[in-house]
Order: sequence, then C-alpha cells, then structure tokens
Amino acid sequence: MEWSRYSFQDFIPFTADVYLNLLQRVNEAYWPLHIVNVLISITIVALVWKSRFKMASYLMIPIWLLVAFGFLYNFYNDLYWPSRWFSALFAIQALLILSTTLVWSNKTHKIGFVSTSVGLVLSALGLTWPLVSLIFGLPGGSLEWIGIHPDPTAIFTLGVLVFSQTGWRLILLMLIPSVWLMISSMTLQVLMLAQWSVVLLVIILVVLLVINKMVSQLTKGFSED
Amino acid sequence: MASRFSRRSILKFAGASLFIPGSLLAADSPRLITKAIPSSNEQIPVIGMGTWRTFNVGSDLKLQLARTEVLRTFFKLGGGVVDCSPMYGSSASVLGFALNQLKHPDSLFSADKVWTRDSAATRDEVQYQADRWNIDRFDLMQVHNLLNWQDHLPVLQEMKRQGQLRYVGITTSHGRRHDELVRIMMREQLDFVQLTYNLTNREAERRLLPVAQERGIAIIANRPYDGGYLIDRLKKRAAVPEWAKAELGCRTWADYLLKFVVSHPAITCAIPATTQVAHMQENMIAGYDFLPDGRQRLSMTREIESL
Repeated sequence: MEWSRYSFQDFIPFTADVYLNLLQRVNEAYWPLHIVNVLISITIVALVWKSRFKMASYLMIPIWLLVAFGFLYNFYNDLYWPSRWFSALFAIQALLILSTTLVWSNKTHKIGFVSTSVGLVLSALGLTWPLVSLIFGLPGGSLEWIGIHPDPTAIFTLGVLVFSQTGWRLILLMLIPSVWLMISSMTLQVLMLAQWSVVLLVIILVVLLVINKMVSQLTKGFSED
Repeated sequence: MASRFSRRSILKFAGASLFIPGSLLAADSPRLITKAIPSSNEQIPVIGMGTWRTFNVGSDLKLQLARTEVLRTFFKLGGGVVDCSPMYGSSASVLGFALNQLKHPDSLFSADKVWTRDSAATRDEVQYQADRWNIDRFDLMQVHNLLNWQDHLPVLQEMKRQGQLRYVGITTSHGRRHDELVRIMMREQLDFVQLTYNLTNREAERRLLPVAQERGIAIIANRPYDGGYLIDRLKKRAAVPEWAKAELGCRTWADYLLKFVVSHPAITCAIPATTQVAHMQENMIAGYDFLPDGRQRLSMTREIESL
C-alpha cells in the first residue's frame, strides 16, 4: 500500500516554532477561559472523589468539545490536514462520555488503591501541565492548558477514568485519549519537543494499569456498577 | 543562455561581505545559471524553492509576512521555480498571500501537485491549489509521490493539451519507488520528474537520471540538504574546503551542496526550502557563475566521504 511507504515524519508538515506559535495564538484567543476550565476540572476531581460520577462525567463533555472545535478544528486544521479527523474524534469522545453516562446506573463501584493513586496523579498532571511545559522549556505564551489544548485534556481524562471507571466503560472511554496521546507523542518527537517522553510514559502507565485491572477482574469477576 | 543581474543588485540583496564569494564580487556581471527544460527548451534558474514545512505557518500574519520576505529575496536574486503541494498544510495559501504582496513577479514558475486517492478529483485539486496561490494556472502540475498516478496523469495530460497547464510531472522523495518511477518514465510522456538527490543520496544517478536524459525529462531535485540534516551536520563538523572556495567560489556549505546537485547534467533545478532570508541568500548565490565539472564533482564527494 502507498501509505506504508511513508514514515511518520512525512506527515508532520510544520516546524516546532510554528507549532509553538500556534499554541500561543490559541492561548491569546481563549484567555481567560483557561481559568474556568481549571476550576471545572478541579470540580470534576472533587465530584469523583465524592463518588458523584454522573455529574463529573457531564462536566467532562464541554471541555472535550471545546478542544475539538476550539483548538483542533479552528486552529490546528490550518497547519495539519488530519486535524479535522482529530476534531471529529474529540467530538466522538464527548458523545461517548454523554451516552455512557446516560445509561449509567450510578451505583458506586470499588476502585483499588493503585488505580485511585495513579488516577489522582494523572489528573494532577493534566491540571498542572502548564508547569510541565515550562519545565521542558516551552515559552510562557505557548503553555498547554486543560480544556484548551488536547494533551493535558487527554491526560486529565485518563486520570479521572482510571480512578472512577471499571470494565467496558473504562476501556471504551480511554481509547480516544490514548490514541490521541500516542499521535501527540510521535508528533512532539518529530518536532523535537522534549515533553513527548512524558506523554508516552502516561500512555504506557495507563495501558499497564488497565491490563492489570482486566487480569484482576477476569480472575475475580467484574464489580457491577 | 545566461541571465545577467547587476553586481549592485546582488550586493544589495545578499549582503556584500558575508555571502558573496570573491569571484562573484570580482565579476563584472554575475551570471545566473539556467538550464533548459528538455521538452520545450525554456530556460529556468537552477535554484528554485521548496515549501515543505517552511511555508506552512497558518494564518499568523507575522509569520506570513516573514515568509513574504523570504520569497521576495528569492525573486530579487533571480529565483523562478516555487514548489508546493496540498500535503503541505497552509503553504499554498501562504504563498498566495506572499505573491499578492509581491505583485506576482513575472519570473515565477509555479509548480504544485495532485495528492489525492480520489481519481475524480484531479481537476478540482488543481483548481483548489490555484485558488490558494491566487494564480490562473500552474506552470507545472505533478502527481505527488506517485499517488494514484495511473488516474491522475491522463487527466493532467489532457489539461495540458487544453492549455490549462504548461507542464506535467510526477514526484517521489527519500529514494522511494525508484523502480516503479523508471517504468513510468519509460512509458509516459512526462515533462518533469521530481526526486531526491543530494551529495549523500545519489541513488538516482544509477538509473533515474540517465533515463531522464534519454527521455528528455527535466529533473527537479528535492531535499538537496537532506531535509536540513546534511547541511547542519557539515556546518558543525568542518569548514568549506579551501579548494572549493578557490575553484568554485563556494563560501558556504549551501553553495557546495547545491552546486554539486545542479551540476549533474540531468538535473534541471534544485528546490531547497528555508524560513530565513539569510539562508535564502546563501541558497540563491549558489546558482551563480560556476558549476563544478566532473573532476571537481568527484573531489566534492570524496571530501564529504572523508568527513
């Protein structure tokens, strides 16, 4: 097939400085929505902590839609031709969150200590991603924020999912964030932006955790919702 | 046939002491090197410009204006061929912006590509790109990376017959699919082929370039700096050899690498890409006055191999 003759590098038609410039323009366009998104995200974590999973899920939907259309469709699409498909994926994730929440029975379910800890760490990582970006040398105007940019949104979502979901719902809802982070990690690597390593570690951690959960559940039986 | 630019214009736009070789400064009238397109004998400058990554800056006005200055320098120093593709994001639109700013210089030789698996979309894609460039028709339209060439080439040939294009071509890069490209070149009527050719990637010399000469096909060399990797590496490791400075007027590695590429008799033009005015000046200077002969080309390859 023709596509197999390309390497991933061939599909990144922009340079790092242009990408960082794009992040900055997005920040300028949407500031101070960043603060609202951070507050919403903290609320999501608090709701999950209090086992109010449905409300937490509903609050996730607008931040995924904002990234889908506010960033991926409106801005990234300018530089990167597959971005309209990424935008569709993010919109589908919002739809998946909505539909799985609507059918949710809202019974509490047991989440283990490891999942809770990992989930909290990843949620915190997503929330504090601007600091991570700063540590990796990104200029202040180009920092990435939850609900504005896809990476911290996906990382935060994976964290929340890991310490709030089990079974098929966890698998279904973590697919798109994981696929995005894999693409992002590869993109950042091509652009030689160092945070690609952290993004990749997140994916590996989550996948290992989920495999561990699945194995445990297979041997012990699923916890019902 | 040579086109003459005044010393004054070269000095003005390239910066006297930094970028101009002594031989060029000494010349009464630096000679812009051109080569003929075999199918028409039209002369085009041997240094063109690519836009992969470099012109994909989206709707950022500051960056668009910066790229306009790069393009302005290109034309002021005698540039002609500008190459783009739908695969390159917003590059075509940025080119359109820049060309509008520069009032569409007459020396532009516009080259773009069809890059779609949709066999019915050839004409639409050509028109879409032309609209983004703000031009009426392309000089050259190419099938990008051989994608669906069986369906696109006949349509492009028909468009050429109808006067909607001037030339038809096909492209590959990174040394991919050379065997298939040779078969296409032997079978189809092509004006241009674009391929990767540089000092460390000379696979095309084996068959593609001889076939091009035999069939009267112009060759555009992409990735003359291997995507920047080659020139960056050389700049860090060594200075341009003294003999290359003395015999060829090579002040920079850009000179060295580009003169090597375009001195092959089968190569019509090279299309380095850059985001910087200073690098564009370096690139364009390579297209003046002296090209290495066979002996010098051999010395150039040996020099690189020794590093």
